[in-house]
Amino acid sequence: MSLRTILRKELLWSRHRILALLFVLVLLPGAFAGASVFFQHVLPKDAPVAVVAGEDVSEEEYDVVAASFRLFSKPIQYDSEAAAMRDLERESVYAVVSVPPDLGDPEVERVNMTVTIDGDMTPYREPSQALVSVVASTMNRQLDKRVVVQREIAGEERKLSSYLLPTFLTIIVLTFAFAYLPYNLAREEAVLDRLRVETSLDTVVAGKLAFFTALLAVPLLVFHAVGLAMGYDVSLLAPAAVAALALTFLACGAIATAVTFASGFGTTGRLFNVLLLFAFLGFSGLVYPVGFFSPLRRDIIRRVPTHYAMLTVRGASLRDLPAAEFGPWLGGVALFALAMLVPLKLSLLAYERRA
Amino acid sequence: MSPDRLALTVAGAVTLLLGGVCAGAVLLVDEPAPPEPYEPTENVPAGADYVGTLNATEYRSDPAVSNGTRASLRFQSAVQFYDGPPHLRALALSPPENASLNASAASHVTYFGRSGEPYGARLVVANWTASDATDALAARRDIEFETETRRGFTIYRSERGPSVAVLDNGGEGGPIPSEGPRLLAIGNGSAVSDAVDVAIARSDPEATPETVGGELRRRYADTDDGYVRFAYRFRPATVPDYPFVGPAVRTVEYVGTSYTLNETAAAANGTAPPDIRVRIRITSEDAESADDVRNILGAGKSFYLLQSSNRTLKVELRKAAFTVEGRTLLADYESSPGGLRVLVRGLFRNQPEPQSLTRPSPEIDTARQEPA
Repeated sequence: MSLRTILRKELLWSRHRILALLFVLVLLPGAFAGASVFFQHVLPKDAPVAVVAGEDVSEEEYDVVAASFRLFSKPIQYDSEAAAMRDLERESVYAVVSVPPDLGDPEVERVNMTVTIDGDMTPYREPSQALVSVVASTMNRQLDKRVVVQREIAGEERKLSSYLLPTFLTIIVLTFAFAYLPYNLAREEAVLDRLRVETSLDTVVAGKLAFFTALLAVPLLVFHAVGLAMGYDVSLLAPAAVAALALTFLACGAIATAVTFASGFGTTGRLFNVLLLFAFLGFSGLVYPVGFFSPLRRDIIRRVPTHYAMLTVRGASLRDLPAAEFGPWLGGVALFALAMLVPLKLSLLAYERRA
Repeated sequence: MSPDRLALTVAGAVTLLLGGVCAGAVLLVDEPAPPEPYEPTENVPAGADYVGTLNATEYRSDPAVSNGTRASLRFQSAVQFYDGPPHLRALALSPPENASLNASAASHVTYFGRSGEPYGARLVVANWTASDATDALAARRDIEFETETRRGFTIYRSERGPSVAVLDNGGEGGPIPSEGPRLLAIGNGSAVSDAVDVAIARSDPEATPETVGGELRRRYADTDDGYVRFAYRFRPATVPDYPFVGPAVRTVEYVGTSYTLNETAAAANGTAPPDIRVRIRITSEDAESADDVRNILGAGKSFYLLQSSNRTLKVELRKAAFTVEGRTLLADYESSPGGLRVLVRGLFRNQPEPQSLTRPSPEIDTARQEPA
C-alpha cells in the first residue's frame, strides 16, 4: 500500500470522524487558549484581608489601614476579631489585622499592628511577608508616628508537601469521575442491554455510581497511609473530608455518566468529559487559594460547588475543624450532586429511547 | 403727473431701492467675519507630549484663585506623574518687576512640550510685540537675541535661553505684527521653531499644518471647558515604581485636568468666593490599572484625612471622589479658592510614596528652570 493510499485513507477516516476532530482540534485548544485570560498575576494582588475595626476605632483610622492594605490586597471590614479568625480558617480571608485604636492620636508616637495569617495556608506565607513589608513602609512614610507591623502565624507552619496532600486526593477523585468511570461504562456498553432485561438502567447506573464511590476508599486509605508514613499532620479520614470527597465524586460521576450516555458512548463524549475534568481542575481552586486568582476567575471559582468541597476537605483534614463548621458547604455540594442526577436521568431516558 | 413721468418716478424708486439693497449686501460681505474661538491645539506642533491652556483673564479675576491655580498646576509634577513646564516663571503670570510688560494683556497661555526633554514652549495671546517679550526676558536674565527670518516670520533666538516668535497678529493672521492681540511663541528654540512651521503652514491655504492630533488632542478635548485645561501623554520612564502595583501604574497613558469655577448661590450673592472644581482624568491601559491608580489616590486621601486637623479641609476631603469609568479614573475635588492649594497638594503629598521616586537629574532640572 503506497503512502498516497494511506494518506487518502486517513483523509476518509477524518471525514467520518469530523465531530471528534473538531472537538480535539478546535474546541479543546480554544478552551485552553481562552482559559489563559483567567491568569493575571504571579503574586496575589486581590487576596481578601480582614481589617477588624473595634468600637474604639474611628472611621479615619480604619480608612488608613484599609488604604495601606488595598495597594496589595482587598481589605474587608470586620467588627469582631473572632469572626475574622473564623473566616481565616475557612479561607474566606487570608490575613487578619486589627486597627490600632490610637493610630490617629497625635500624642502617641508608636503603635503596633499585627497581621495574622493561617499557618496551614502555605502558599500565602511568602506573599504575606511582602504584604507586611508594603504596609509597614507605606504607613511609616505617610504617618507622623512609628508603626511597627508584625506578622503572626496562627498554628504551626505547614510544609507545602503536607498542604498539597488533600489537593492531590481531590484531583484523583475528579480524574476517577471524569476519566475512569466513563471508560468503564464504555467497556460495558455491550452488556447493558442484557442487564436491562432483568433490571432497569437506572438501577444499573445507580449501582455503578455507588460501587465506584465505595471504591474511592482505597485511594483515600493509600493517601492516609502515605501521610502517616511521611509524618504529615493530615486527617484525611475526618468525616467532613470523606463526605465532601464522596459527594464530589457522586456529582462529577453523574455528570460524566450523563455525558457518556448522551453521546452514545462515543469518542466525543469521552473527550467532552476530559474537557470537563480540566474545567473542574482549573476552577475549583484546588492548588492555590482562591485569593490568588484574577477577580474574574475568583468570581467564577466562588460559584463552583467543588471549590467548597475542596475547602471542606482542606479545612477538615489540615485544621481538624469539626464537621458542623462545614454544614452549609456540604449541604450545597449535596444539592449540586442531586441536581446533577437530573441530566443523568434525562440522558438515560434518551439512551433508552434510542435503543 | 403724466404717465411718462410716473413711470420714470417708479423706475427711479426701484433703482434706488435696488441700489440700497446692493450697497447693504456689499457692506455685509465686506464686514470681517467674527473671530473664531481661540483653539489652542491648532497652533501646537505635532509630537508634543502635553498640551495645556490657561485662561489668564479668568485666572486673574481672583488672587486666591491664582494662588490655587499655580500650586495646583504643579501638583502632579510633585509626584512625578509627568515632567511639566515651569509654569511659575511664565511671563503672563509673573513678569519681572523691572520689565515694561503689561502682563494683564495676556488672555490665554497654551503650554506644550515633551516629557523629560527641554523641548517646550508656551503660546501667549497678548497685546505684546516681540520686543516686549524679549526685553522682559532679558530683564530676567542677561541674554542677547539674534534674529532669523523664515518665510516672513522672525524668530528671536538666544544662545542658551529661550526663543521668541510672533505667530499671528490675532486679527487677520499672517506674520506682520499689527495693533491688537497677538500670538507669541516663547520657549525652547526647537519648540518655537516647530510652532513657526505650524504658523507658516496655517498661513498657506494649500498646506496642511502638522499640529498635535490623535489621542492627545482627544484627551485634551475631554478635559471639559475649564479655565485651566491640561492633557499629557504618559512616558513610561517618568512613572514612579510603586511596590507591586508599579507595573500597573506604568501603563498610565494619558492624564487630563480641568479647573472650573463653580458659582454657588453664595458666590452669586457676593457673600462667598466661588468654589473651584478640579477634575482629573487618568487613563491607563485597562480597568485594573485604573483601579490601582484609584487605590493610590484613595490612600492619599485617607492619610491626609487622618493627619489633618483642619475641619474645613476635612469636609472638602470627604467630598473628593475617585471613580473608575472603564480604563479612566476620574478624580473630582471641590474647594474654596484659598483651600485648593492645600487640598490638592496635600492629597498628592500624602500618597504612598513610590520606591523609585528619585530627584530629577540636574540637567533636566536646569532645563525646566529656563525662563520663558
